[in-house]
Amino acid sequence: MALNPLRWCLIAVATTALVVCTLALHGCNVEARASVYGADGRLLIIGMDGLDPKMLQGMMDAGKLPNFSRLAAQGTFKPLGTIMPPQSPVAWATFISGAHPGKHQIYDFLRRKLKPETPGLVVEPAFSESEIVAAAPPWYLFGCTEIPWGNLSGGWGKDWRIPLLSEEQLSLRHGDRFWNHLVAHGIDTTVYRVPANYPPGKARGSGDFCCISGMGTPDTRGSLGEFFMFSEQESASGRDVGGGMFRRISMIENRGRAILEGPTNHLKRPKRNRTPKMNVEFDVVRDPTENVARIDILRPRDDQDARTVATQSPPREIAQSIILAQGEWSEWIPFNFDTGVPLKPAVQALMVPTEIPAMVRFYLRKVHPVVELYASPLNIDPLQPANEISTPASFAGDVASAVGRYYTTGIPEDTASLRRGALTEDEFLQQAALLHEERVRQYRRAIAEFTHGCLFFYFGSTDQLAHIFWRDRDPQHPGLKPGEAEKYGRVLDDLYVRMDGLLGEALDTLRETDTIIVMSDHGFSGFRWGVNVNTWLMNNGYLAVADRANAHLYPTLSGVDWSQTKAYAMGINSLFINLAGREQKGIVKPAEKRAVMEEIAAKMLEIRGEAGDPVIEKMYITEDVYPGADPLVAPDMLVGYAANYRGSWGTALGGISQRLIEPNLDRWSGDHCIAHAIVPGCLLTNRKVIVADPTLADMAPSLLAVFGVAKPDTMSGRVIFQTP
Amino acid sequence: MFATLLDALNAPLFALAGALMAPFERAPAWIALVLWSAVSGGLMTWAFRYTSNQRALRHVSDRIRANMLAIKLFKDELGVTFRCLLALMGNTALRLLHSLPPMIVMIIPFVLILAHLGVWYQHRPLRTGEAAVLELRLTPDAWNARTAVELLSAEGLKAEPARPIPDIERRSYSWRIRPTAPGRHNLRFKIGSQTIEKSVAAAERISDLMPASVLRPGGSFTDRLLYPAERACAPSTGVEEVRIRYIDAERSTPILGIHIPWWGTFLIVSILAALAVKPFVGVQF
Repeated sequence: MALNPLRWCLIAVATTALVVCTLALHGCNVEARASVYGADGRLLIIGMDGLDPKMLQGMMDAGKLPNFSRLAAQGTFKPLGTIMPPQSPVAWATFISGAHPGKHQIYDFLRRKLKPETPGLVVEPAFSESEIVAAAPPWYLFGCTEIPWGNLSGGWGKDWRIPLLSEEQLSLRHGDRFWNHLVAHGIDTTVYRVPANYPPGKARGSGDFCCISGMGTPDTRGSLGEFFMFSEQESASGRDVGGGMFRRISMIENRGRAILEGPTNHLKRPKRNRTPKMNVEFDVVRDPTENVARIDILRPRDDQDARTVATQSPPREIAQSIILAQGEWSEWIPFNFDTGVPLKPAVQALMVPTEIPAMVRFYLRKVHPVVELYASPLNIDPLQPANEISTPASFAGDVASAVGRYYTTGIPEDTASLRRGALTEDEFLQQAALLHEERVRQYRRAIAEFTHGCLFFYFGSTDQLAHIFWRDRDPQHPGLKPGEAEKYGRVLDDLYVRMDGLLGEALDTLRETDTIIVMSDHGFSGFRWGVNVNTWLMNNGYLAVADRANAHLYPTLSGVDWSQTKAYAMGINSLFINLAGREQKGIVKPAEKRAVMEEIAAKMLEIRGEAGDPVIEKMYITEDVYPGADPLVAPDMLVGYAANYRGSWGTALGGISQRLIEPNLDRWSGDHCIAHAIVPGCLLTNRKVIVADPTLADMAPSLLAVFGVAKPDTMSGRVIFQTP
Repeated sequence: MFATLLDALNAPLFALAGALMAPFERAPAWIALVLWSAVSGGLMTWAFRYTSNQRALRHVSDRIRANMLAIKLFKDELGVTFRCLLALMGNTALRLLHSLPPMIVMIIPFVLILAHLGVWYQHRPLRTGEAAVLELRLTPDAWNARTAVELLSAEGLKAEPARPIPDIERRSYSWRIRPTAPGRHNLRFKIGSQTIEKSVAAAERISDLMPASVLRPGGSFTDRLLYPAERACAPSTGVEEVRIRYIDAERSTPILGIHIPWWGTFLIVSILAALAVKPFVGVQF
């Protein structure tokens, strides 16, 4: 069709107007703020989770950490006041928002759900940082939640469903984010893995914002990271443990087949109340005599039963193949979980994913006489992210393209596999070393590309390794085994020395006008004793159990007589009142709540340990310390344990134990979930800090101050830097 | 017979592809892809002209145009419009029928071009130091005869374990190989009394353009067609295939940051090139 001259003119005018408007809008961008220390000044923040100020000071005094000492000499080294409870999600949420938990509404690793999904429970624990919600399209109003495939096709394919409701991850962290203000003022900001920031969200403004989510990021199964241990041992048969699962692999003529159990298959209808899962089969082919084996991940096949191991199936097409010698770790191996849905292209055209990409890392622990194979949690592949793990969505892949695939789960150190006996200490350290190498590659790239603006880089190993190897530095720890202190007593010191080297690399690149901050969210203490708070509440008449002699057999407060219960504990530091009108079976009237809380607080401060020492340092009533706390979310009270004590593992999940105080024999031997004054974090910076007692909440307004951005009303912290 | 003919064609075509790609070894991989796709599009247009009945095609084209004009002119006449639509459908079918002979003639070179481009663009070379699994599969007869398999040499590569992992189900032996230096390396195997070789491409940068043959075929005709870089193993060797597997083996050839499969780029560019040269060649599609 020929265009007449008038049309040509109109098109030309419209195009020109579009170009002019685009350029004009670009010109309207806020002029980027410069650092108050100089026009080209940058801001680098290195977050080292759990970096302990006492340990750091000791090693600095001994001359083992020259770069930390160099930084302290340039500016300031102070303890950084943490938040109550001093748990990483709470603390980092405070750092991000510049406000206390009453604003950001994260109070513990765990929250209690007042409307449990598990039948028979009155309350149940859930992760506090994010939750999955159904995203309803407009036609949901008409009750249409899925395409009635079976009806339309006359029954063909009735096992399948095309859901119209999609699931979305929702961050439960409220409050402000410091990067919002930086980006709004034109300051490019990059954030690597700050905890309590999943999903990562966006920032609006003329500055660029790049972010990879950290602690709280799930694996492809939707958990926080569950390992697999495959073994020929009978004991490995179908055993699920916290943080992982043991599965049996039967070897016939040196070949065995096993299954990586994947996420729920949302396109398949449940059968007999069983949630359909997506699985991927893999073969292990070992050498008859040598300690070496080939592992083949097979092309997906439909209808696999997660517990069925088919060893006599015909040869299948191989998707990925690796060879490992005994004691070797593999690279990341990407693969796809397949829904198996028929008419895939048509389903994909409806924007419904038919495959879920994932990646796994194997460790061949043993070949002969029995095969033992560890598989890492099924991480989200940053090159094909199944969930949103970065902002912009391509950022995670850009990083992976530059430095290789990397762990994407929120807490990648696989402490669960060590604690459950799937890995030894040495093997766990190998895993941690692989992770550290990945992080160092990313860190070096981030530093090399850091030309302007603000960069935050997070290291979590300083926290996770301290949790595991603290007892090797604590001669009084009840879990310490002979010979361990000699073998692992220096693991943390060596890690601090490595962190010192990384800090040195950053310091060497900094200019006079740059600002650097090294900080941690809390310090560390021993975890010698576990305190069963629900047991104390039961013993003191605040929590009633129908079958008291067997109370420990009922998990998640399932054996509780709620009609006689005034308070219960769930989470590591959280204590709740069974409040009428809020809890499903609440009995404490709102008018009585205060008196009950004060009574419990006073009595709990009287708890004594075996040596007569106080077990609780301080009790906190949440509404007093955190005004604005949402009573439907926040615990009513926070338990501030004394040093070397902590809420037991059972308490966290609403368990009731037989003993009030138990020795902690777990490898998880150091902790920080105690009274916050005992475990401050660290603050090192090349700038002078003018506040005597800086805290985590002060950090966000202070970061803004580096670029001359005024503290917003949403932040309650102070500016700690002396700015020109 | 076809397999022998294919083997005879593959060697000179692989050499020709190497010569055509050689000037672009240092350039971004997409440049050669776009250039040779455009050239292919142009050549196919020229071939179309001489293998099709151009007179008949022009005649059909005129009738299509006439019917479209009729629809435009008599849009208020429902009967005319309907008859023209039917005529359009018939003429379109006729046009496809006239296009069939050139399609049949061109399908062979087209598949060969795609197969040889695939050697360069389907898989990336191994990175120096990167691990891959090499699997040598035997035919049932060779496996049952317990034919001895030995790796004689692996220059420029580290191969382990010294004795390969046998797999009864797949009738195969596997090694883990790692290139120790960039370049095209050869592995030599002794299969019974015969020797065969398998090439391995390695580079410092995986974006380097070089032919990467992940499979040396055995008796399969499809494998010979799709993996033309190496001559098929003789049936007497008892080898079914020699395959290399590694992570992210497929090459990505983005154009201006947009990731399109290389064959998608080939199709798009060759069609655009054909349309561009159409007036110069004087061809009617």
